[in-house]
Amino acid sequence: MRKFWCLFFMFWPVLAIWLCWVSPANGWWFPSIAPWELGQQIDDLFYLLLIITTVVFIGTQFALGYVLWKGSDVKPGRAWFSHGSHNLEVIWTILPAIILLFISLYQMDVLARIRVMSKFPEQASRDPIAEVTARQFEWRIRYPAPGKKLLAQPQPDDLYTVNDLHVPVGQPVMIRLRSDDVQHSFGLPHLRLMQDAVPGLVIPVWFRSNAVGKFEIVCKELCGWGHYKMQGELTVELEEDYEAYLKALQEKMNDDGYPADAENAVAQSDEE
Amino acid sequence: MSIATHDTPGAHSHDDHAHGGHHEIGFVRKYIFSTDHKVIGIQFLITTMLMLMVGGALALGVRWQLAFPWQWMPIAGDLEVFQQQGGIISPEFYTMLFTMHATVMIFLVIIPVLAGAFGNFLIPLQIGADDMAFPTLNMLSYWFMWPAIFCFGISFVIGGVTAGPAAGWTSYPVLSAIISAAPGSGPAQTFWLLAVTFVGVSSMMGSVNYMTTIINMRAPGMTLFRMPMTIWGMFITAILQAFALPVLTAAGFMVLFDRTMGTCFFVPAGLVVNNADPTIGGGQPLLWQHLFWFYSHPAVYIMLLPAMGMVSDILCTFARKPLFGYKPMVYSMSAIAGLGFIVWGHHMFTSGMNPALGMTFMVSTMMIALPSAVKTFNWIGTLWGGHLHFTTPMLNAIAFVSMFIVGGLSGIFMAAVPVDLYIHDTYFIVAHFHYVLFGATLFGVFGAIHFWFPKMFGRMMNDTVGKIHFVLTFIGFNGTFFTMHLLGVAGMPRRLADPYNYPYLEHLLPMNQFMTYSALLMGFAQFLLLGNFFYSMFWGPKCGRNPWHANGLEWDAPSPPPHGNFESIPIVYRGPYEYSSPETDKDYLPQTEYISPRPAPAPSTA
Amino acid sequence: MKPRFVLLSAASLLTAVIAGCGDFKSEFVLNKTTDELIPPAKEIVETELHENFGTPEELVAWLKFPIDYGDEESVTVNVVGFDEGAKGVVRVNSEDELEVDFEGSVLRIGNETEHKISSFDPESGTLHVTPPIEAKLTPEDSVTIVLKQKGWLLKRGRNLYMKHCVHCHGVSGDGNGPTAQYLNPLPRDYRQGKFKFTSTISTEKAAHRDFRRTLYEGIQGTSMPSFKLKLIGDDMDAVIAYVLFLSSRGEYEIRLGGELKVLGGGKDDLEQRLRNEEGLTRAKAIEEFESQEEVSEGLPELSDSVATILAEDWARADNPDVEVWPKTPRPEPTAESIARGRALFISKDAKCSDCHGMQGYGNGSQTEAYQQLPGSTLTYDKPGLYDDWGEPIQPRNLHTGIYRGGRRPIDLYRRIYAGIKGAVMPGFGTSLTDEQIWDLVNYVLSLPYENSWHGDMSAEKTVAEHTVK
Repeated sequence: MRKFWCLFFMFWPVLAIWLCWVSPANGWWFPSIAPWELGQQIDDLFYLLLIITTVVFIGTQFALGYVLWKGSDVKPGRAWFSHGSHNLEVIWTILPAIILLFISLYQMDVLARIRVMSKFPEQASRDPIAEVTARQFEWRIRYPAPGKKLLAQPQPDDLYTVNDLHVPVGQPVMIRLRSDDVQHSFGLPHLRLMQDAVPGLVIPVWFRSNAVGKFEIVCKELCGWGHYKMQGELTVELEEDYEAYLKALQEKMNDDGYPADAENAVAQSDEE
Repeated sequence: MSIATHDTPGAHSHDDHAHGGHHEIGFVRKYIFSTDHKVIGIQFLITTMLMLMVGGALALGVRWQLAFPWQWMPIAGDLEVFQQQGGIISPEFYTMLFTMHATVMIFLVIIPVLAGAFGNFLIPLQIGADDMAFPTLNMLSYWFMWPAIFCFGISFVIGGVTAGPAAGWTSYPVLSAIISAAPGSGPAQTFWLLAVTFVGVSSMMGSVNYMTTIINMRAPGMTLFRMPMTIWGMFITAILQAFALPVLTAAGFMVLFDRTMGTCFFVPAGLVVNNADPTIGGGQPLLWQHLFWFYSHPAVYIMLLPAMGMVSDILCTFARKPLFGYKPMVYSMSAIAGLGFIVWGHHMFTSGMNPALGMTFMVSTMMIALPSAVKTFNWIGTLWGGHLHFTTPMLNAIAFVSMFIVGGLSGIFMAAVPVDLYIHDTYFIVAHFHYVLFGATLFGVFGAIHFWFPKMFGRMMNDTVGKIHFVLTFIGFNGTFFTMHLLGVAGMPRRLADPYNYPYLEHLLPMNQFMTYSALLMGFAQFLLLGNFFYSMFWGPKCGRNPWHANGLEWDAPSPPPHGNFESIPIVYRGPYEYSSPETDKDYLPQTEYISPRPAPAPSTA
Repeated sequence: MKPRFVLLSAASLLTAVIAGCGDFKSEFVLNKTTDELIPPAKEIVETELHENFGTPEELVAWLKFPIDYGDEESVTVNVVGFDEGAKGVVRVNSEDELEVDFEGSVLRIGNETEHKISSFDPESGTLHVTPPIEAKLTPEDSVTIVLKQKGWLLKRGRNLYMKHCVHCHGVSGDGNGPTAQYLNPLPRDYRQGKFKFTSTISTEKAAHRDFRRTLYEGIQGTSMPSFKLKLIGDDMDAVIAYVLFLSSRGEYEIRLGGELKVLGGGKDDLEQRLRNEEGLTRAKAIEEFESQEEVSEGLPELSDSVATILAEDWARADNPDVEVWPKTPRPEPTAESIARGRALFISKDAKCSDCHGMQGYGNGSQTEAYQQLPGSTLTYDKPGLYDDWGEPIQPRNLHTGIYRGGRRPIDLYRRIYAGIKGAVMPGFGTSLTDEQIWDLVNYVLSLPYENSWHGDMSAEKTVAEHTVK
């Protein structure tokens, strides 16, 4: 029975590591490869941490299992009368300290490139592509009219959509993130990005996607009963598709329903 | 296997007062409005155990929705109030469930069970005092829990049973500050804030008492560095509470004013919430996050340090070995407390806080992992070369160490800001804090309940039932929470009533169902604990003063200790962990035992 | 109640009772208009509703209504093998690409026996069916596999509605789900058959495309979200079918109750008669009510005619003739056009400013006047405007840039032309010319930018940008 408990405590770390090992194959892992370099660097940092922590995890759990195994022997005599070891304490204080300091300094560069505004790509910070306003429970998106700049105040020729953000592929883009009511969070899990939308603040967020496709926008901060409904979609498309999209959106925004004919009626009603 | 023996029956009836001068007190003063620290501790313990079941039931509701979204819920689904929605969990009811689960577990279970129950019961016994420094304050600190429980109870029902406080336990404004933002919570959120204030008052009374008692009332010879780790844990917790709590209380009142009196501490101008009139504003929601986490991050350590202390005691006792590195343990605990005050910003990495500040918090947060690592190594060192006795308390204590490693390591992911940008507010963080709060603290508490139960009631708990409870809880726990890491990496955000709305999460449903089954197993296992506890309270086998052959002062008192605890003032000759000492033939050496032939350290007064 | 139900309108009643999946245990609730009926009349309404619409779990689709309930989709395949030992196993030609939906798929042999398909292996084409097949199948035989049963669209709509809509709109579509009480404005109560933002003229109901647009875009400024990412493919049509089903059910209930009231089935009328007529007892009055020909013999016809009129109303809404289209294009929003619109806005002809206020802030004089209760000389207890559901409503503040019915010029044109159904906003299609309406549209669209500050963004100092620099 004594050995049973040792095995019991040694068995579960093995199970845990096995589970992590089989997870990527089962889809219990990152949703997709991040389609931009900073996203990939975030993944790389994650894997770096995963390696370090796995080594520590195996080491400590193995050590724990080992001392349990040794200590569970029924043997004559007494336990080892020891109050500790100064040298060991020094080693296992300094060593983790170095590793932890290394980890935190190693992260700084990626963090700065994502968050510090003076390090944003100039193209992105000069011309914000859209203003994204979070609202219970939807994302309202405002683009400038094609060929114009996004201004802080809404303009009569601005284009509006809901839950549907389009950006051109391969270009750094910046959005201005706002909230109309409570705190929300603009999450792009596929891009490994997240930024809270704080009421009263306008927060610039930049990203780039080098892959064409559709990615989910997730609200990641509790914003009320309908929090789970707050789904948006980021569509990354070729420059010309993006311009065509804006053009179509502009046409739709200015639609005055004339001339009315059966063809037009069908086109009007079928939004998809 | 158990080393429990019944060789020294506690032959002390309640009239046998060593100090004399106590007159007979009535039932009400003795068991209800008692000023005796032991009764208060037990009151806290039983209250929190019942609250644990409430919090667990709420969690099972959450798990039901995640595994079987929008399906008729068992038992509750038949109730009249749920008919309107077809017996399913509505989104606002779900929001209430996870809000109240966190609230009950944190404010009514973890904090009071550590500081309230074990702090009260153990501090005077372990330092050799006859009671707390302020017994009446101590009684009040328990009875201030009840207005809190009452207010939490009201907040469940006042908005209709299907909706309650709906801003999460973190209660971020504007959601919590404007009634129309989460209208379902209405007055419920107000009562929630009041309840948190009452809990704060209760904790504050406790911590003032603990600090005073530990500083002033130690027995002769009980120097600071002869105190058991439990007392160190309680002492540092009390300091943390005393400095951090006022911030939360003040912030709580500010939100209350925002809700009820139209102040705008946290509300900026011009917000149109649920088509109400635009707010007047001038406030700043981030201010709340700073104030809240300035308390709530130290609170994480309030919820951990006493358990660390108790586990150290249990590990030494059943390894029959002195604590490995007593002073490093004390210093690392103090370091955790000190660093705990300068890491709160790591909860706000994605909030739009100045990135330079974010970098600073990242470094300080990484550094707080260091003392935790030192402690873990020392616990393993303590077990190294010991003669292990796998009793129920010991198993729970080993589980504490094993689970704490996971909780600590997963914390490093969150501390790294770039990685946090992805895993922030996903199930990864849920996994992380459940590993710390449940995996570590609650296993520590389960261990402590089994360990000190003989001292509380003079009877033993059933070891076999205790082990079955442990195994089921351990399996259920890991089944529920280890898998949450993977959900987090897959990007599943927390607090979503229906995560499968998002196509990239649809395939996680079977995993969630597995977790729900594990959680059900874990939930039902707790009935074993309750049954064992209450059965043994009356019909367990009687035990003597020192069934575990432990060294602490509390084992010198009769079981259960009478009013006034000790027959005579104990004199302390050594530290609490002198197991297997060559100075004596036994494998333990109580702190009070005087050994004449060899020159023992002269008893110094503290 | 009476055996007559069995023989009624067999042609028009599809008794496709759809098996529920049992995940939700709830009932349709009765409208309060039904509670105003005397007990036998109430019972008639209840029974008719149950017979013709079923319960949430077991829906009944009434073919009379112009709702797409979903037609049967089936394929006929050749039997390849039949295991005579285990009569539940059939192998069919697996080259036919079959997508078997296990919830409703059945195997039909000839035109008679139906066997539920419990599993299907597309590799080998093996079907497991229950109950076992009695007849002997040979490889020459062909069998029909019903992929989608009649009414599948309605059933799917019900399931989606129970997931996405029920929290606010309620099980019966009465706008009284558990979340409803927290919303501002309140969710729509479908039971009057009125929907606010439509493309049809003011006297007609909402067209299918209007539901589609509302689901697709959401209603800005309310709690109605956009479902364009959640209802994909047939799902949106399914939800619309179910909403139309609930709406038809609710309005049928109101109208049938109204007819019975005319026949003397109203509680209040009965009480009044008891007070006024000497020698009339309650039992006698009820007997009188029940013995009327329309009630005793003619009830099927009565029910049928109510449904027929209702169905015709709905069918007309999808007729292209009732769709609102402008006869002239929108003129440029020049200062003159806006000025003309402004003049019209405050003129006696249009009276926009009575509700929307002189400056368009939604604070006109009517918002402070006591309004008459519909069909009565009394007024509401509180001043302000009320909609057809008896809820207080605010005229829109036109400065916010939020347009619930959509912000395209055509949307605003339609709002002014046809009004907002069920709300106080009337239609001006007959009283104003196209040019006038367009001037109004231009004026309204200019309002949010009236005091706009056209500064460029670099001048704006927000806290966030200030700190992150």
